[in-house]
Amino acid sequence: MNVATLGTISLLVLFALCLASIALAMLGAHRKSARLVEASVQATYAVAALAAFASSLIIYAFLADDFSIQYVHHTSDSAMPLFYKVTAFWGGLDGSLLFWVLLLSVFSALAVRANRRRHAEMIPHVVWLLALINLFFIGLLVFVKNPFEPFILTPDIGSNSRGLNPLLQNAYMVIHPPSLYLGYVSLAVPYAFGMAAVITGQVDSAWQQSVRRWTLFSWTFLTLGLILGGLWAYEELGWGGYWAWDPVENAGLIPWFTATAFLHSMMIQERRGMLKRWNVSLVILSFWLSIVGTFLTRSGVVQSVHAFGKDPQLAWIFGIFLIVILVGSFGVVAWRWNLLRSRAELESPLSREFAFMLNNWVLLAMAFFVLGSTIWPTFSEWFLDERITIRESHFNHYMVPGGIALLLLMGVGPLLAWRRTSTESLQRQFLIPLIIGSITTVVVMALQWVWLKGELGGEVPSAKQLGAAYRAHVWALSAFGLCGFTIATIVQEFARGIAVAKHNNPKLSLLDAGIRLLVRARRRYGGYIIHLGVVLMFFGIAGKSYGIERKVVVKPGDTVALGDYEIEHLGLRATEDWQKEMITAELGVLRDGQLVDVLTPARWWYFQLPDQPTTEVSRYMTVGEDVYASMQTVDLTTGSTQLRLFINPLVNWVWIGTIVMLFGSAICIGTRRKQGAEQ
Amino acid sequence: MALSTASRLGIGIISLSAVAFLVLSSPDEGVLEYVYADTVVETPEKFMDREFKVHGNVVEDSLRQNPDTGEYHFVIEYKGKRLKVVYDDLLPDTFAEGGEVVLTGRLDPGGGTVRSSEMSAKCPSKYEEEPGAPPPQAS
Repeated sequence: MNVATLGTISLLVLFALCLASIALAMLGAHRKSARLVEASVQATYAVAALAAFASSLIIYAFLADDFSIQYVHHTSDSAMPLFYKVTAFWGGLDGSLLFWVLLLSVFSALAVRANRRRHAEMIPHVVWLLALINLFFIGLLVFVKNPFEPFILTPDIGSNSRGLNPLLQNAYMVIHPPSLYLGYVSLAVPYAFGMAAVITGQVDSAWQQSVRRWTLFSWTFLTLGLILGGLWAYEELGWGGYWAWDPVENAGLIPWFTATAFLHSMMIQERRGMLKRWNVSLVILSFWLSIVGTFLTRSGVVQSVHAFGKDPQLAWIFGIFLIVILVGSFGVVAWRWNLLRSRAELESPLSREFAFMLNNWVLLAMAFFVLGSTIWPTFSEWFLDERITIRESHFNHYMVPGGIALLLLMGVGPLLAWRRTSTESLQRQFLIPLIIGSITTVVVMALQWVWLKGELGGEVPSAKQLGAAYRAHVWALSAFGLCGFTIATIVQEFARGIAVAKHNNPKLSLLDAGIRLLVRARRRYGGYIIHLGVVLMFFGIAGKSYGIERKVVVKPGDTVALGDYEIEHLGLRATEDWQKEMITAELGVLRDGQLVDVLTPARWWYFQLPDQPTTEVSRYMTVGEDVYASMQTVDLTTGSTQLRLFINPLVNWVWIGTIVMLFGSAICIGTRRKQGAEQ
Repeated sequence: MALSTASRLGIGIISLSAVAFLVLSSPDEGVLEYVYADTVVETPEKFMDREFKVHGNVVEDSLRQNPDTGEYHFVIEYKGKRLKVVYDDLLPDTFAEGGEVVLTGRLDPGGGTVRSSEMSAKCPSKYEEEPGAPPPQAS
């Protein structure tokens, strides 16, 4: 039996098993039969095992160069490095669906296993709900997009198939899609538990405790996946930025907003029994929006360089699935609406509850704004017969202030007390951060004055010029001020926590006291570290406001000015390896006449794709900025080189912030041991 | 909610003002009309005075570059209607004569030429449904 047949059969069995688990779980819930429920749990484990088997089959097919399978033929090449053969698994549409099924099956098994005793009443509903979602995707594999589909007649071209696009043969292909998938697929788990809680009427915090870690896990991988996508674009594509508000980028971002809101809003329910309706709605929306994201990317409904291409059949199938999820989920919520009443009331706008509610509103608004703006062109074309495109400026105009609002809430939220913040508490909490924030703002405005003076060639700027400069950079300046404010709040929290720890145990060193905080109150201080990471990212993003871009055509020997630097064309090199031809430009980066680095932007012509050369970016990275060069075209006979040159101030703080954020997440998620001793 | 009426009113006013401010201060050119070259040729009056996106196929052998200014001159066509283009930026990686391009620009007062500094180009071989061809940043 060949791989194609074995694989197809395993998918069919997978479908049947999944269907069985749904039936067993539903029956078990209805008849309250522990045996039937246990059977459904076992079926869930079996589904995971079989999904793993099917996945290993497709990987085997890649490694064995089984080009009788269409999917392998389209996305692989016998000459491809082993590494990329494995990643080709999720490189194309069919395989990515199987990857989805694999992840969902494994997550379902893990989630059920971890919770089957603690939440015995909810488990059957969790099982059938997760299995139903899984069934949809397995159904897609079986009936519409089988990755094991063989050719009827094996094509005659021997070992040279189309192969994976060279743009995809880099390390990011290994980590960006899986990270994003891990984030999306894992959102199904909190969703299933949320729905199970509503169905069984157990709407208090119990369900959230079981999914708290999952939600943080989802959020971390979603965030990481999105940032890796941005880093990939920045390092590989050569247009000098990391986010373009492209529809597929947006598809990934939209669920992130509601997931972030959910993550925070849960704390309010846990602490005060409020926002239950918000929380079920947010978890439904997060999951639903992740499917919307998949739909947008795969259906061809939106135009994008990233999208898989038009597929009306898939569009219809996903569209119906989306409607069913939305109507079904909110229908159940509507049925249980009264049960989801809050236990307590909002007492004051100066309360943590209010700040979190504002947080919910801002994030929800941002999610729907991005979603609306992303699909508006399609709507406009279908219903108004008017084709339009929406540019970055439209997104940035609304999203930047939204981001500033979030930054503000991030600083203010932890300082406010529950229920109502007293005046003394306000003073005590806000005084130092406000001072630091104000100082930061003044310093930044002064720096802007100095920079403007430099731009004017040493002349003192007039009030009008200064005003114009401030207006042009108002959001960046606000961001910097708020970064100062928020960092001060985080440091203040740590300082106070450490003071208390040392008071209780004077022999502790500062470091030990700090570590004790992280261990004992993991969620709180881990959360602060995550916030610190996010603040650093905002800092990095704000630098964009001061960026410089130049498009030039130079010959060897020419020099161009770029901000504080000079870029000198030192020459061109033509080289070749077994995969490609390369032309590299050597650019000297000079500052005050001194050579600080040599950039080597290049263009590569892969033999396999001679018409689609890739752009290789080169950067000089410092803490303060990147000097970034990408080569457009080059004429070897004249030496004439088209370059795009950028100064990207503070951009590396985005990546630094990401690492800090990951560290914070690791602390928050932590180990199993100390789950009780928190806050 | 146990918030006082004053608080609720205050919150409402602040929120609405913030949203109104954003909407009213919105720059005009965030949303662009997207048309094919034949529409522009047939009804140029509709496209004066504003930026728009025009989609067409680059006519073979029409590409010239002004050696002094670096500007590119070429012709795009759609359904037989031709439009001249003056493009003053660097050609995108995937530009090729015969291929499809989308230009963002303005129409010259004469109506027959588009001036543009922004172009995206699809290479002549279409991506379509090839799995693995475009980066699958999928969910």
